[in-house]
Amino acid sequence: MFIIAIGDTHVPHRSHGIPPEFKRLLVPEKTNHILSTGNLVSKEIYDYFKTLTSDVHIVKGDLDENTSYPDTKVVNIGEFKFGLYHGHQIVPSGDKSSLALLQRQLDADVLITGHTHKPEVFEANGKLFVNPGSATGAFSNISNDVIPSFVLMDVQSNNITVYIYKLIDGQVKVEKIDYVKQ
Amino acid sequence: MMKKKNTTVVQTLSPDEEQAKFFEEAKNNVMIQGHHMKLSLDNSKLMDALKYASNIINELRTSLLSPKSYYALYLVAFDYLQYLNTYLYEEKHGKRMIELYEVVQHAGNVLPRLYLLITVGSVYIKTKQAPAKDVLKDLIEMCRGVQHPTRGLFLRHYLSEVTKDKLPDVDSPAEAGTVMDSIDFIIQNFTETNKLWVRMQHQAPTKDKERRENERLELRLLVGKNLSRLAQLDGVNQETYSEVVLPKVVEQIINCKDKIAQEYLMEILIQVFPDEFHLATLDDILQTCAQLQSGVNVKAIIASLIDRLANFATRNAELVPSDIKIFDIFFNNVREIIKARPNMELQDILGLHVSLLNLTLKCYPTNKDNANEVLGLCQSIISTKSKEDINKPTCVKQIIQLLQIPLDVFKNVLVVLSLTNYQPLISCLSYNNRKKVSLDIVNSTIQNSTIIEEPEAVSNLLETISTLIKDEEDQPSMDDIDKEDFQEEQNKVASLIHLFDSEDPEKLFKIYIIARGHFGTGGQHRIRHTLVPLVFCSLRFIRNFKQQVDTGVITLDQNKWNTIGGKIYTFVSETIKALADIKLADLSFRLYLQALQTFDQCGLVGKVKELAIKALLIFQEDIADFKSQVSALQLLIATLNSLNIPDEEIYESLAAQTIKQASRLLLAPDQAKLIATCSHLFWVDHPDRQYQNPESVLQALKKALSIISNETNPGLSVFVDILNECLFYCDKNTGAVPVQFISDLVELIRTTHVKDADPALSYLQNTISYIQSQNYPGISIN
Repeated sequence: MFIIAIGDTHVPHRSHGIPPEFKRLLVPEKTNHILSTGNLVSKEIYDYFKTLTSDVHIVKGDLDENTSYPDTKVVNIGEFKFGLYHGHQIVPSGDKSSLALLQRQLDADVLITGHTHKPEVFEANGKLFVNPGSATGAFSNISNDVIPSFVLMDVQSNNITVYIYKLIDGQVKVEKIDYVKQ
Repeated sequence: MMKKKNTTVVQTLSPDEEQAKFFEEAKNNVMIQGHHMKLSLDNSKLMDALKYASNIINELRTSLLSPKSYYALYLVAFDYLQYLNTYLYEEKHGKRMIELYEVVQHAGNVLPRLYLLITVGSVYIKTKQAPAKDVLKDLIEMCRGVQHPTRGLFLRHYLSEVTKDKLPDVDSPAEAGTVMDSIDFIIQNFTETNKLWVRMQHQAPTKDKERRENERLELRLLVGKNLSRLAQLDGVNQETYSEVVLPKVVEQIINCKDKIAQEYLMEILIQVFPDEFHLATLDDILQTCAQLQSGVNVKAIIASLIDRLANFATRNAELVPSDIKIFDIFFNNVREIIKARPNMELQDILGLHVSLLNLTLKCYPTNKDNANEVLGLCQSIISTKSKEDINKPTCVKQIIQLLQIPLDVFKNVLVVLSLTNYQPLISCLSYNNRKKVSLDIVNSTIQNSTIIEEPEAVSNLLETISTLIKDEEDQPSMDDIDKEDFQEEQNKVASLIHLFDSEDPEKLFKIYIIARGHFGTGGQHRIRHTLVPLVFCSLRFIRNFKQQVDTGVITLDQNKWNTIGGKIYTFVSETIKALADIKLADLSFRLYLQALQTFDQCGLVGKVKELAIKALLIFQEDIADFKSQVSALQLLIATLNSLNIPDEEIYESLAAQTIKQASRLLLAPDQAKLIATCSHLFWVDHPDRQYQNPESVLQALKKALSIISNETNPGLSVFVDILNECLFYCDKNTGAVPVQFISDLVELIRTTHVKDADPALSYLQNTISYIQSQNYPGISIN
């Protein structure tokens, strides 16, 4: 089961589009679900996600005008409970203790947040925390020198293989992290 | 009944049935005579056979058949004559060909006489008993004896068919003749055939014109075959073609002054001879086109020639001699032809331009001037035409094509915009089509990620796509415009700003000012899309600029920096204000906060204060919905917490106002939750700023707890939120929250607020497990 975690594209506010290098990797065959951290800002990218899979989940970022997006969302896929949250509400931004608070609140096995535009995947207290960064490498007041990134999760029964895709100087670099549910 | 029906049939045959009847009768006669001819030949009675053959041909003297039936009958007769031909060649008859050639000249009727003469003549050549050139000359002269169009056409076709493998060519022995004899022979036959074909038109009364034209078209191959024969001669090389063949063929095409013949023969001429020949004679062919009858579809002829040569030149660039300026020749001739033919349809004129544009971009892919010339010519012609003509779908389609081709070929909007005739051509179109082309331009820029570095180019681009930038006189009313389409278009336009870039900060800022000027004219429906990216680009711009100052890439004294910061501040805050002015409160509030963060990072404290005041003012005056107020405050708290602002007075005043706003929220749970979050305003711990006020942290948490405790039906969740906030301060070892406070809070929650089926139960459970796992000193929970 392939899950794409992706968001903070900010098209057209801060970028003119998802890089073609990523678009070549984002294919329907490798996309069963999309969990988007929000701040897509316009319909264009949402429509694009819909061409990859019909199962698109999205939460509201601070600059999303679409009021139908919820602030939080919990999605059950296989044996996992995924909590989804944009993250602009978290104080201090991106703080691990604050993220843990949110994980407890959503009762999630995997917490996916964005906002910082800094891709990050880590395990804490047996839970998995995923920040796919910004798929367009959009400007951020929180991070300098943002690079475009997204995350692919391959879910097999009680374990997840997480791939972080980063676009560095026109080259796609992939990092891999394994997570087993306790 | 039966009887009546029978009589009807006998009395009135339809024209088709009548034709069939005539044809069947004639064909039967041919076959009977043919049968006898074969029998005679098999019995070596040659003279009898010739008599029967003559009878066969007599059937071709009929005037009853339509050209189509006549063709069919001719084919039957042809087969029998072939049989005779073979027999003669085998020379079983023991006669010399010269004798036979004499004998058949005595046939009584001219048509049988000529068919037989041609039959014998062809064998005469083949047996080499006479020089080919003499016999050919003799035969072609004698064929003049038949001036009836249909009969003459077929007779000459017969002549052409049976001599095709006997024409002197490059390798023929000298006595047979040279290729020039063959050329003369074929051209003479072509000329006479064509004259007969044209004369067919004038045989019938004018009311039958259309039927007659159709009949002629059915026979066109008989004329065209002659040109393919010429092309098949090895001796017709490029030189002979240019000097002998083409002038003579063209002379006949022009002189016949017949629309059908001219259209068809030009098409065949271009088809049967190789591209290299055409390249060498381009001027001649095009000048011929100029002299054709006014009704001739010259456009189709030239367009097919252009398309052919464009493909040829693309495939075999090395075969195109450098002294042949294909484009110039076509361009000049096309211009003259259009001028000389005032009745030419606009769609045909435009079609020629499309072909010309394709030609130059295929042959000279980097030559902009040619493309510009084509667009310019097109523009100058269009300007003389009526709006009604221009807006015909067939014409519009081609104008749009003319505008799309350069985008597709150059794949660079800068090159396209450097074509001075490009934009004027867009202006000829109606609103929707201008918008369509403008979108094509935008999409091409985005797809090719074309970076635009020059302020003038930015201005030029935005002027070119002005249909998307601002209201125009001929646009439909906003109610008739599809909202989603409009938003999508505007978002595309808005994306462009990310492709405007320059390494020179001064230039880049100038670009932003230019873009702001253009977008600013867009009206409220557009600026809500187009101004936002401009704000973010400006913020990125000033931050990058500051980074360059900090790292020494740019040297600047503090005063200069303050001036630049002030300029950008003015630009940003005025741009956001334009959005605030059209009551986009949530959006402008957020943009002010974004700007505030950026200016804070750039160390422009005064601007931070001003931006914060603007943001708070919008919050107080324009954000009315209570849910919007909650999200706005969450964002404000997170933003303030992130600041590096060194001025504690300003910061504390902002923090105090934030708490004040939080305690004014409509719902108590929201108040409690937000005030608990406000505790973070008093515990700032990042590398560039330490601001810690443990008393205020605890005070905020206590205030939050008291607000929620005073509710009659508070629920569990806000209590657990406050508990978790307390744990944050434990995790960070701040000492701001006493352990006793936490133990008491857990106790309070457990004893008072846990109710079955509260959705926050798992939240509480997770929190308790977390406390247990952390072994905080002094906190014990079972």
